[in-house]
Amino acid sequence: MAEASFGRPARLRWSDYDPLRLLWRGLVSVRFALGLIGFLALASFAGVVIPQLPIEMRGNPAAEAGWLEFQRGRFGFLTDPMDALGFFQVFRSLWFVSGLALLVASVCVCTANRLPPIWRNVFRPQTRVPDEYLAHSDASIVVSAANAGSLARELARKRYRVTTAVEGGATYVFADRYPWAQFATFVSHLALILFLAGGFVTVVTSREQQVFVAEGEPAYPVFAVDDRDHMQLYVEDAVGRFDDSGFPLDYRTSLVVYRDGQEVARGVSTVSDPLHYGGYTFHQSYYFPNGAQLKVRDLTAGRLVYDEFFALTAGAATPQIIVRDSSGNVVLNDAIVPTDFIGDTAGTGVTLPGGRQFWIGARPGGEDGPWQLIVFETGRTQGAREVLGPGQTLDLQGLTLNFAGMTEVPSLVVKGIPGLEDEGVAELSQGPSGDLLTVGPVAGRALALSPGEPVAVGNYEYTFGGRREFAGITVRRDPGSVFIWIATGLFLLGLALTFYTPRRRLWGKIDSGQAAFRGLGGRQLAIEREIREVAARASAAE
Amino acid sequence: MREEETPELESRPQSRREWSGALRSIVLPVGLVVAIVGVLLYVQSGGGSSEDDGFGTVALPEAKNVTAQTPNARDGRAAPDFLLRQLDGEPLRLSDLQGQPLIVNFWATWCPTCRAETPDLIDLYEEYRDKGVLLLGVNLRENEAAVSTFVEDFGINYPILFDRDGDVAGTWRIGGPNRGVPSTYFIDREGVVRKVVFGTVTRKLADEGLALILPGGS
Repeated sequence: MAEASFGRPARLRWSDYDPLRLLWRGLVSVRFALGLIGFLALASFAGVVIPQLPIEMRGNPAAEAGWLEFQRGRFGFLTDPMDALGFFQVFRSLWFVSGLALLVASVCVCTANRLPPIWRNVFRPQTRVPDEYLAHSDASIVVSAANAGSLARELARKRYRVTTAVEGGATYVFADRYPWAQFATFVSHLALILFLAGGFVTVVTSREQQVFVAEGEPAYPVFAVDDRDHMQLYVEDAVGRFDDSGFPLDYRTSLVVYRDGQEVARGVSTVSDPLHYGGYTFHQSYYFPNGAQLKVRDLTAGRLVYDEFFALTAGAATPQIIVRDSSGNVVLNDAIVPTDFIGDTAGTGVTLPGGRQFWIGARPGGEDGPWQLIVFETGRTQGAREVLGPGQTLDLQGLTLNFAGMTEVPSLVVKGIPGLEDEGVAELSQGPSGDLLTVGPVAGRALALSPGEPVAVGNYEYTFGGRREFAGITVRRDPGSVFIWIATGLFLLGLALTFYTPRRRLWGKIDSGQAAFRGLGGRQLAIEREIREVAARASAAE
Repeated sequence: MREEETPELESRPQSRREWSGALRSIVLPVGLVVAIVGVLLYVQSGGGSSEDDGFGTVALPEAKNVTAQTPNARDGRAAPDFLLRQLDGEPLRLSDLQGQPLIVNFWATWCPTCRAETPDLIDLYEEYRDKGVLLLGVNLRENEAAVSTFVEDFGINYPILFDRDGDVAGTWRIGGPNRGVPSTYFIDREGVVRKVVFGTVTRKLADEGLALILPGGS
């Protein structure tokens, strides 16, 4: 009996089991690359949807633990496993970074392995094709062309590199334009690699810290003191310019950067033009005008015991009054910043034009009622106390006082000031001679301090150092941005080469006054139109 | 025309993959990218290393380590030795001060807690200097002129040292609420750390520390 004959399976060779070759097969597989991209897209989605540990908390175990405890309220028993798997730091997790690295490896291995065939195709192109190729009725273009020389010249005019060969009475033409454009694919792939590498470098190495520093404040630290890149920022001057409507026009800060005690950079930082030092940029990101410096000296010891800078970020309600003379001219239009308290009324002594002195204060109307302005002329004890509601006017014999309503002045609850009773309030306003800082209660009253004019109360001397503007500075270092810029340039270059200088190859055979052409590079219609144009020009030139 | 020639041309040679051996197919392309990324990162990082001027952490002589354990800024361990420059320019080595109870306070002018506790430290030193206690203020990586102004304004009466590059702060693993400062170490006459305070040294904490380092308590 004849043995059944089966086709023998192809014998597997040793090289098929080569792990590097298996790895290579995976890396050059389009399916693998698409799967990897899908995985990274899903992971990125998770990184956007799931709360991520804020950058400033990284490396601080106490802050990290606190933040995680907060997340426990949302994720419950899943919190610990999610943390262990890196779901709260997706973009820094080992699995995400590994996926990114694998994708980079896939793209660069693919790219490298495409090089040999493309190189051959560019530098050793096939200049002759079989007649069957040209005779293909769907793709070949037949034009009348008696003179091969003029046809070649017209092709050269169109920037083709033309080679011709005569064989058997027929002239074979090969025209090649922009052959190097075929390398555009490498430019685009290199851009993709650099985009991925840039993202990887950004995730792993970028650093950022926001600082909020007042003019003249001790140089503010950036990064922890045991950090290799620890620096300090000193703000010499912070400037904010606004238009009439209060819209910000420009923020700029004169900065000095210190490192290990040495001045290493100095310059102006703006929102769009940062100061640069050591790979870091120092961007102006915020501006706050209402800061103040307060110094306190211990008069007994003869030394400073307090020197702080406040950002008065809250607002305190104060009454706005308008005083007019008998002609109706406004002689005073000001917010009354309280320095004293009488019962539940906060107010201050005001000397009106003409020398008359009043005590003016405001108190809440109670139960959401409107504020009340309390006015009495000091020195008079009877019948002089007046209570005004918002908008009401009081006749002061020759002057009229109008309670325009409540306004706000910058304020802050302060603690720890020597001589201050537990905690108090600091307010920054405009006094008759410029900025005025009121701080209190100190010894039962609010201190009204003008810049540089010390006021002694008890054992302490208080000095308002002046208004200090604050600058918000973003200190950032992102080595990945270099990669991204280069990648963007390469990507645009690759696109430009592909779309504006596409490679086109034409093969033709000229015989008996007729030329048959076929081409590659672009749409068939465009190739056909170009060949007919060239043939028409060649005929006209003869 | 030769018969073996194919009638169709390779229109997309880039779609072809060719195995050219492990070196050319995998190692070289991946290695090239890694090298480019590495070079760019190195250039970005500034490359260089810090100079060693002899100041900073120094080895504690064995003869001065009574604990026979590696120095460590923790309770019961020998304080890590350092050599730092003082405000007046003179060098000062910690181990040279053995025999004297020490308080080492790491601080900075930008630290609000440090500023707040400075008057109290001045008073504390005023009170205990006659009992042989030496307080050292180790300033962290700050500009000398700014520190000098601060010392003058606040009337600081104890020696100020400069930890220029944070090396000593790193060795001592300072850790407080404001990026590591203030951190205060109470060290006995034999150079052994007896108490560590991260944050403000309140009078109660100071008394506890002094009781541990002063012969017979405070």
